[in-house]
Amino acid sequence: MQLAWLIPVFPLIAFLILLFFGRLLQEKSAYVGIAALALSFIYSVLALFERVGGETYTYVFEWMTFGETSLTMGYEVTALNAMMLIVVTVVSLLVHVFSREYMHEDHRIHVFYSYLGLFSFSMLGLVLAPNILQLFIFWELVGLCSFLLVGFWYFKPEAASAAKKAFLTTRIGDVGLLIGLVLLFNEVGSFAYADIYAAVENGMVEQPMVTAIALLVFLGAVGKSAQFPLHVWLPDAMEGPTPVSALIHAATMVAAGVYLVGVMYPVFLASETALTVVAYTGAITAFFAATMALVMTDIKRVLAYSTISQLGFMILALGTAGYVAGLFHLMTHAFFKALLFLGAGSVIVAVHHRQDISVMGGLWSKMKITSVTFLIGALAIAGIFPLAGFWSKEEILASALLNGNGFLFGLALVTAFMTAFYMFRLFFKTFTGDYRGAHDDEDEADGHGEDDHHGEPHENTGFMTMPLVVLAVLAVTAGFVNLPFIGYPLEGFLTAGLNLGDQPHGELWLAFLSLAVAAGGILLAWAMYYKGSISEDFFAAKAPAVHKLLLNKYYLDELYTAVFVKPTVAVGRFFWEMDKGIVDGMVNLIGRFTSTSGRTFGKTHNGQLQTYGVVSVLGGIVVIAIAFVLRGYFG
Amino acid sequence: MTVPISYFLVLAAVLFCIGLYGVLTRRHLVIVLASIELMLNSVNINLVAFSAIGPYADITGQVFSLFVITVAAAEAAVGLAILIALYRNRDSIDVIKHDLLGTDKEKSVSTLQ
Amino acid sequence: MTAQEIFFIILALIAVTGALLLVLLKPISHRVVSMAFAFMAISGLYFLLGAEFIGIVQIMVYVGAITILFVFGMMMTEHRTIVFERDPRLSHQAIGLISSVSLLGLLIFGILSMDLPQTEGYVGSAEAIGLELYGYFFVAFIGSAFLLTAALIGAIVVARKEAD
Repeated sequence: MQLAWLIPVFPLIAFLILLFFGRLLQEKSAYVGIAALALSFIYSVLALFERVGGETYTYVFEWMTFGETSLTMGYEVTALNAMMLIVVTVVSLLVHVFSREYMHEDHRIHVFYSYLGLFSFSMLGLVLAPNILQLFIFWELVGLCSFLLVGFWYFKPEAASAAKKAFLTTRIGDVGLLIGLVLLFNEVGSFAYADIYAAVENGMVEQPMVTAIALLVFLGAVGKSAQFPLHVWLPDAMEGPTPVSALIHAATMVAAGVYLVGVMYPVFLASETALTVVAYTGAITAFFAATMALVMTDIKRVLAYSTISQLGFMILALGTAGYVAGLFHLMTHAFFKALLFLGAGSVIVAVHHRQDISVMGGLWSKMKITSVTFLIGALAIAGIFPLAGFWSKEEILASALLNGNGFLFGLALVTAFMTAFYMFRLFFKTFTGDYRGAHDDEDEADGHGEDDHHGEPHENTGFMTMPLVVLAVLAVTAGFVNLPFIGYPLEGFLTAGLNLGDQPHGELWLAFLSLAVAAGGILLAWAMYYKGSISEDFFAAKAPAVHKLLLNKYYLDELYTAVFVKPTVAVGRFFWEMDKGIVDGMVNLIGRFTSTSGRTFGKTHNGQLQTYGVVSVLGGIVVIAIAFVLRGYFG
Repeated sequence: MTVPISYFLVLAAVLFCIGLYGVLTRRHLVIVLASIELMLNSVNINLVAFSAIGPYADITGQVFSLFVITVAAAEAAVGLAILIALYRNRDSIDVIKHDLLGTDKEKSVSTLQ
Repeated sequence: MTAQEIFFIILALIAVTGALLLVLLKPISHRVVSMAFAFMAISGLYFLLGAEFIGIVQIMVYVGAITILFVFGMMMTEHRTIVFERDPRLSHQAIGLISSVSLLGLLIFGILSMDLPQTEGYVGSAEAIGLELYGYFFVAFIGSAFLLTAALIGAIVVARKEAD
């Protein structure tokens, strides 16, 4: 664990190498990134094994000192971040491998890999941080990297504006987080987690202040983890390359928000109000995002809303004292969401970079590996026994039931049903039936002939399928680390040494209920999209207003545009005009005045001795007059 | 002495301002120099008046006026010498013509040749 | 009205008239003559103030030497009625007049608002001046001697014709 600091350093080195030599390496830069992440992964595994058998390892050094307080930097291997290291490095490594194939046509592949390296470095640094200030620094780095990667195809206007949107929306949360940090430092006098936990548990911080801090910190998490009402950036972030979406959604960006809540959990536990807010935010987010996912036709957008929904589940779990449940779901979700996204990437490559599920279909026979792994991912997210999603979702439902109330539990249950439904809607529309994309394929019409990227979709090469298989295995098995039958080992690992209260566990009937709900969702999707016994437009026809509302994402984007963007732009334009008219005008006036007066008085500089004499005499008169006034001669 | 000192001072001020006006506006160089002499004389009146009937009557004022006369004589001699040299070189006694310091260089150069 | 006042008024009138004519007359020679009259009246004022030595020096230096110098200066340049072209600097003339007059107004205002005590006349003598010159002002006296020498030589050097 002493060498844990090396984990984020490897991607950083990769980033630096690619920054300087990327142009030379071109496609080979993929291997640099893959090698760096592989090393990081190995060290993470070692760190985890050491941590399982040992104690938390912390190394800090003094960074700077102000008067009597000093700021420290360093790294720390706790149970939570040992787990996170594994998740981040696994997903990141597999995304690196996957991108080798996905991006190989792009001539800026080295830039892509250098960004990926920086992204992994930031996220790993964030996870390893022993104090919240350091976390905040890496937090902002993560935001920057997501901006760079979402806007990787910056020449597409949608990508550029999506990157801007992601950056600005998360910035709102970051401001809250920053204010929370300042308040926290003001109260506690230290940024280190251990000091913060101790101060909060000893009641050193007053109750309203704890609530304020917790809510401000949570605002940061809301921005980063795309919770309602700051979730709007995440669907738009789909404009980035698909592996980036996988990385953002599974391991790095959005996980940072949940991780933040997890790492600050004692502060949240100290405030009843904050926990309630967290729980309701999570539940509402989960529900709304799931409803929007029902109607989306873009394969990546469905997955994006599903991510928001699942993040809402995690936040809900954390808000109802299900610390382990939330983080457990964070881990399992990372695996199966990465799997789903990479699978979607594989599909998108196969159908010539189109993302609309209405032009897919029938891929089951053509892309066996992708289809099977995607099915596993869909089953996992739907929560089918015994896949990973089942175990973590069941725990979330348990904590919502036991520590929350009926409303939260009901929302969670409905969301679970919708999750199963929209995932299998996606699955059936993509992989079953007939291929609907062949005839209106415009690429074929313009006579490029039959090369690798035209014609019938077919399975991709090993660089793409290998990560899918690995992730599929993880999506099946990841749940077993917290099996009830062997005494919840993950829970024991994560809560050791922390005073977090009892973790909720569901009864057996809850497991069956959750399974039944998931199965119901799948069955409904099967009936509508595979069997056709219920018309696809059945619900849309029944409630066209609701359908329209969902299609337009509750008009939230429009609302934000009207309420925030337009006034901001108007204010900006006003100040711009003011700057142009008044400030610039003043400067110009001074300039014009100077040059004009210079030209005017230049005329008096005519070489005429007597002109100079007159001017001197006038000056003398003025001096005398002033002297007279000052001495009171004029009264 | 029955004449108040202010009379002398006012007279000196009047002469000084006439001299100043001459210096500032007359175009004949000789008259400009003569006006300067007039200004110096008005100063002398002040000095002698203060020396004779001022609040601190003393011989020093008269000594000073002697020095002023000395300097004025030297100034007149050198000034007229310069004037003559200038007239010989530039062929003009008009103050306006002598504006080599001005910004309008071409005109000045043409008058120089 | 005492005799002194009458004399003062006469002399002052002559001096101011002479000064005005110096500035305002057209022919150069007339101007120089009026200047000589002004200098003469000023020396009379010195006598009136009881400064006989300064008065005599004034007559010798100004009326005698400097006026003659000016006459020579006049003769060696254009001395017949020279006709300048119209003065292009009308505003300059106006400003010169205004500034002179306003300065005069300020000076007279200052003089009249000054409250100077009326004192008995102090009568200086050539002996007292000589004692001061060779005593307290000795260095300045020597300096003025150098100044005069330098002016003499300088004037000759500047004014002589270039030796071809």
